[in-house]
Amino acid sequence: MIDIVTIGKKIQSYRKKHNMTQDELADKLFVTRQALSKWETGGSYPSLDVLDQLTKIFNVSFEEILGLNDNDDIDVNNIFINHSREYIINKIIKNEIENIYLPDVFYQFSPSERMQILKAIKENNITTNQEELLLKLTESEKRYLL
Amino acid sequence: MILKKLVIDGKEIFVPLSKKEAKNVKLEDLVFTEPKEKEEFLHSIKKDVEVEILSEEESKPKEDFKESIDDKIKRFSEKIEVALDKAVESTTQGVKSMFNSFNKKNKVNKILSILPFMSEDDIHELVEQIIAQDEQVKDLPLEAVMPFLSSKDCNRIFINALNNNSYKCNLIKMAPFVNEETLDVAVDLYIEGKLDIDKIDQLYPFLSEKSIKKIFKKMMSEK
Repeated sequence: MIDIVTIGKKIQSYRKKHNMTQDELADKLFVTRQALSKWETGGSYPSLDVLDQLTKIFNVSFEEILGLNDNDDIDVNNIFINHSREYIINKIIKNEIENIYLPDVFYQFSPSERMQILKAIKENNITTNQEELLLKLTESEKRYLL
Repeated sequence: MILKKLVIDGKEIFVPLSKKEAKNVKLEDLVFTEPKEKEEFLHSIKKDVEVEILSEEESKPKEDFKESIDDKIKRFSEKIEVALDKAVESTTQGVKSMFNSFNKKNKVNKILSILPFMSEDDIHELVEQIIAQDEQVKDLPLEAVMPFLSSKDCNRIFINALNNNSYKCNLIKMAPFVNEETLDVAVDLYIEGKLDIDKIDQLYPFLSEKSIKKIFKKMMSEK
């Protein structure tokens, strides 16, 4: 999965490297400055067509602009910092974040994210201390899990 | 209370109106919360119609005076009856459609609330109804149902949603419940020209590196 926060940081970094303002880059892409700002802050992500244009403007490959070859740097004490929520939830569901203790961080997730994680636990895709986790669940979540 | 039905951003809302304001609104757009109020309103319309007809009569040339009083009464009554029938029909339709809309939402909410308690067989039956595009489950938000489905059913519903534009579905919200192989199906459909780029635009953050490369390869080959 791609981290849209990473895409945003890459766009910002390349833009500054090329000494362009947000207005200048937005004009080249035929988008508003507000849309570009939203991409750079991870609030949304550009379409594939715009990504393609960005690779040409910045003279980089799409792997570079998508951060496909970058190392993951997830702080288990502050899991959402520098990453989009969807990216982190996806990593948790695939059991790809080491040393994360779910019962301790579970309160940070939205109801929908909690259901995604609980579903993964129910399907044995994630191993965690279920006894400890049950204490952090709502009644309907407990019913769902058991 | 007299309410007027408005549609804003695709949503139906009802705003209260005074009797005077209601008379300037199309009857089919009015909804009455109490039967008594409806009767009173129709009665007042009838009065207005009578007054209108009377003033029409008075302004006509004197030759019309030859018409007998009985004939006049008959003509009056027919006009009022037609006007009343129209009023009743429009109002009834308005009330019916309001209740239908409430009923649909209630049904959807009921299904969502009993999902945690449904057996596997019941859930599987629900999945079949969704895939068959049954009217009863047409308005179910699929992303709310998916946590309760098996992975296999999630994947089936996702592919069904990809192929059917008629479904209310947010692909971004459904994608987390779907495995990579199923998302790859979306990519393959796009490469074959069977899926719009708009849908792939929504999904690409969830795709594997391999799938992204396929998409960019196709984009470059088209230019």
